[in-house]
Amino acid sequence: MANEAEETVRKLSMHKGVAGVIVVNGEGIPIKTTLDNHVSVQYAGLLSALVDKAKAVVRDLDPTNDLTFLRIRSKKSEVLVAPDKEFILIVVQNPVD
Amino acid sequence: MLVEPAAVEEEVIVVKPRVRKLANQFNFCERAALTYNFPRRSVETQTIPPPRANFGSTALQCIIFDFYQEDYARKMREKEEEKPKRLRKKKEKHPKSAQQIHDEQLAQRIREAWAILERLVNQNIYDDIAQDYRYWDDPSDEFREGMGSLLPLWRFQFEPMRSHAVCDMQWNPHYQDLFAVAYGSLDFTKQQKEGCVCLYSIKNPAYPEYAVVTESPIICIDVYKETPYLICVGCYDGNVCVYNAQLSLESSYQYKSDSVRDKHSNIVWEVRWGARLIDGEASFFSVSGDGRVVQWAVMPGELRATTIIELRAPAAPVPGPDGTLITVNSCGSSICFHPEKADIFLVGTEDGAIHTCSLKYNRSYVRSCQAHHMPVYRINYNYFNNSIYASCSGDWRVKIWEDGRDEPLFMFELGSPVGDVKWAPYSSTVFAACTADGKVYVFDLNVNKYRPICVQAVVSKKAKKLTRLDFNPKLPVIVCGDTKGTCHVLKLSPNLRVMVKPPKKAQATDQRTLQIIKLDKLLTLVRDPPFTPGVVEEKFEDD
Repeated sequence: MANEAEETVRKLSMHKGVAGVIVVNGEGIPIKTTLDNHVSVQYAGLLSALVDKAKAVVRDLDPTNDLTFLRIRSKKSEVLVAPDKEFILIVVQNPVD
Repeated sequence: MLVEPAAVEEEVIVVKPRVRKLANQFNFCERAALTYNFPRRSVETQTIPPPRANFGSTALQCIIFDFYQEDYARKMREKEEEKPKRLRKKKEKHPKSAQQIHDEQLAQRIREAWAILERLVNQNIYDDIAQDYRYWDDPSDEFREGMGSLLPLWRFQFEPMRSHAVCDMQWNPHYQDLFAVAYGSLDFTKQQKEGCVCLYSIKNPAYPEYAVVTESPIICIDVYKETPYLICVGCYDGNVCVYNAQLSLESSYQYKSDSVRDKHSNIVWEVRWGARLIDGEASFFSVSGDGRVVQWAVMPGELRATTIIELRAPAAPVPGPDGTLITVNSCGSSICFHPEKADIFLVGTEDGAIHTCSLKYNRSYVRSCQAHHMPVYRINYNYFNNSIYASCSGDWRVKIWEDGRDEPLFMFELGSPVGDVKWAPYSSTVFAACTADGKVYVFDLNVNKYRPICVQAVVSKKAKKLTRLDFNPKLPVIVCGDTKGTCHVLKLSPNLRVMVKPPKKAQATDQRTLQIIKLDKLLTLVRDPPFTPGVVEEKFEDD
């Protein structure tokens, strides 16, 4: 399992335009990252709050529904977030020209 | 009177009769006592105050919903436990602990999340290609009657397989975006040590969805139509294996012919899944350079080989050193099954012959003809007419045959060894071929009987050769492989996939019937005037 995760992170970070990959555990602590430490901590903290909020939005509209994915498109980059109860996967991708 | 009280007293006593004093019948006496008063004290004590915390929470609708769900599940569980034992559902023999189940589910969820992330990253990277694939049709097609072009889309490469050649490839019959690729080597003087089976999805051009490195270069591959995760491959070392793409990579192949007695002793050139056996086992056929066609039954846990036919060379038996006559086997190089008659199949050999064989006769051929002068690389039946097939060979030629006719209906010379020829699944008259000088040729016999309607160089002929190609069964794309391990996906321009317009009188005729009619009309044109080789053999000049 650990090997597999390692491999996937490596694979993903080698894609064109991928600036960083962060794996965040259930408590909002980054456990694996290819970015600088303080940047990852910031991403993890901000995004886990956002994920909670987004989840609440989706589930309040329909309790049987659930949030599966989050894409945040900004002027400079795109943040792809895969949220789960026990982890959050974050990929930061810069647009390819 | 007061002076003499005693006298008075005396007098009273005397006067009064003597009254007997009543005895206290109950021995009653009254006695009173006063107890001590307890001294009063007030004592006060103070306990440690219980820990307090401020708690605030928003009871969102979803939280309440979750709680009810949980509560309901618990109640159901309790109910289940109240039931008498015999009514309870039987527990599994080795129940997994809750922790194990949880871990497995978590791992699965992580894997899925990664897969989605990868798809999204790819979607961002290859967005322009995806748009092209979906919406861009060559606008110049309108002005070029009967000519088309190919639009290069994605290119697939697997880093460890850069120096390998794509020896075979096939679209998945079930998932239209998935194709299987066999990596081996066609340079037999510098043979690679290992090969690879990869499954690529056009949704992820960067990495194969499934890749397993094998001990020997892989020459051919076939995906099972019934269960599209079973893939049989033929190896350079004569082995055939069956891979199960559902299993994880550690367990690699599911079956291998390593320890089977009658396995091939030469390169396996082509494998094809066949019909199920009487007992319900899946089976596949392989043709090899050792001159045998073998049927493999996929038994539980092992493969079982049955030799179907041995291909004899037309040459007379050769006398050996001690005078014994040795019959020479000819080497099979391709195999193709009749789409309807399950027991009829065609075998192409390295000396250029195409033999029509039947599973029922293991001694002789049903028919045999000397079709080419060099190894036959591929034989492919038309999807609309079961008696029409195409063959291609190292003698630079593609020929279109009709069953039972010794001369080809059409013959095209492409100026370089032709690695592959395939009929289009959407049209009865369209086929494509790829050549060693890196070009893809697309023919539409209905439009032009003598020349291809599209010739396009896909790779530079100095460095690479094209080996194989395959039409996607549903999408308007083809994939072709080269000798440097790259697969090119090309989109067919509108002129290459013209459909038949139904005639005004019968608007409701479905496309398949129209296609069959189109091909039949064309065939009568070719058949009716006696066969004239001059017309068919007309060579077109290289573009």
